[in-house]
Amino acid sequence: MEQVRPPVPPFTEETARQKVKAAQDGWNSRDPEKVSLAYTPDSKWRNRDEFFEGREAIVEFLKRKWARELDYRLEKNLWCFTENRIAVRFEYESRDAEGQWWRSHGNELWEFDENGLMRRRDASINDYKIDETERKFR
Amino acid sequence: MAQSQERPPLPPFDEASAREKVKKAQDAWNSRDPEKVSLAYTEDSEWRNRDEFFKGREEILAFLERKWARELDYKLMKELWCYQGNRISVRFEYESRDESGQWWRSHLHHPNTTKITAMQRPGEKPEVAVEFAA
Repeated sequence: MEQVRPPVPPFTEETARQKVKAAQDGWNSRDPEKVSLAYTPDSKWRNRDEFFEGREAIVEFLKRKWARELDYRLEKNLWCFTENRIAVRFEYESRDAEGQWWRSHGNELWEFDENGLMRRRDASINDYKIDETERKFR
Repeated sequence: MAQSQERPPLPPFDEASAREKVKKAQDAWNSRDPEKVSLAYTEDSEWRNRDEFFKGREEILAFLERKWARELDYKLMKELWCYQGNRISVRFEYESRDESGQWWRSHLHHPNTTKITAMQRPGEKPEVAVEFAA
């Protein structure tokens, strides 16, 4: 069945912000299956230095991600949008199995299909260690 | 006294002027000239580059000098992703080699750069679909 995931492009300031907020909420759920449904079945991803394609690979990636990044908490901000493309800045914090906290900064480039599903995601992310007391997101 | 400087095209950007900004940035960074590159940024320009945070032209210069001392034979391509008002988002890739002769490909700004062999350079192996400006 054709899936529609509103809002659909072309985006306005308001609908672009809705997309960003929906992604923020989706990722903060840390539910790989749920998150994967926002992407086209053949969605193409670059995440750091990993390149993969399709929901199955996305679910597998997200499971690995959140098995490693504990107490993950994310904030996304709209940078700009044009028609079916959106760029966001994001920050997230998480701790590793040893209890070390990390802050990660990233930029994401998104491209959507006509049904509002994301068909391309290109993410660059950098991490650095923080002290537990420096956490911004609680 | 520093004069107020103008660096066209000016915002708000349209498709053509956004592309022009991206092309100018690509050309300037490919010059690998820190002084020249720094002039495209405000005097108090705020940067995050990977996990480094800094501000102002002096620090931009220091950063770029360090960058290109390490990244040899640096060659970059930038592509417009989207624009809105005074903001532009770009996707970029660059290649460089380190002192030992190892080639690297870097996407946007993340530390997990990918090692490539000289044989994998664009134009030498067709399945690596990356176009670099001549």
